[in-house]
Amino acid sequence: MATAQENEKKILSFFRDIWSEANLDVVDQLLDPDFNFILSFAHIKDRESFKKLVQFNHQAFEKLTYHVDDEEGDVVADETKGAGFWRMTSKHVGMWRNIPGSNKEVEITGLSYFKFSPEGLITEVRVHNDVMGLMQQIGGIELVYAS
Amino acid sequence: MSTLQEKNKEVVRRYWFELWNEKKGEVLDEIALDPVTFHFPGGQAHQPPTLHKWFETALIAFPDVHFQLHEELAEGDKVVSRWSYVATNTGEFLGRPATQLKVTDQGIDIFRLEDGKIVEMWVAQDSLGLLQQLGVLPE
Repeated sequence: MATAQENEKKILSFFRDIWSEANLDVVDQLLDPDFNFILSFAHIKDRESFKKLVQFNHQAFEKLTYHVDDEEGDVVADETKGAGFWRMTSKHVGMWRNIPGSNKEVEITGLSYFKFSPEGLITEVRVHNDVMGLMQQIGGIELVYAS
Repeated sequence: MSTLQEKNKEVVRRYWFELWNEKKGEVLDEIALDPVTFHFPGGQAHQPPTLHKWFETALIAFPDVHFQLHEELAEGDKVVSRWSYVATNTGEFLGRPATQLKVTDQGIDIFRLEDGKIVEMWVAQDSLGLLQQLGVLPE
């Protein structure tokens, strides 16, 4: 079983190497093959599908970056689970949830909850991100909901 | 896990179960500083200034709100909760009249504690889904 400190490093790498750098080799190193990625509006059920999601989001959001501003304060972990508070910045340039690229610079925050296998691989990440805030910033509320 | 983390988890459980589920507003001063420093997402529908105000508003809009605590962890001075709730909108919320609709939401909170009291909270939940369920925005 991994230590809390090792799991905190994996959480930071999940945000920085996988999400910000789109380094898909790190997906194979950090995630269990049966990894689950659960959002309030979607459930991605394996590692390969998750790689496609990362690639898709990098096409829709230019310079997609997940910031963990306070390594000490914003990441919490024990031997089997963890959580991270993050801030995402990017430019919305491609279709996302039926909203065409708006060329708007966006910034939202969110929290992710991690579970680790006995071998120390990430088996599940549940994400609560500010979809409402993102929709407001890219004009999605007016476009999709008020039309 | 050290005694401090176990004690902090107990305080946060009182927040979910005694305050929110049993509606004991009087425990607030025992478990939290006033005011708590909040970190709300920019798009969160309801951003109350204090926990007292949050509790008061929620009891008007969703008096039967009931939380379930799905997961928790504690490390250092932090406690993390993954939660969900069900509630019926029987009073005014965000300036809108009661809808009588039953809604559910889920989220993750990080609590920071000092001397056995909640002093800071980071909150993430699904505001878009809540507003859709209440009919403020279409599904």
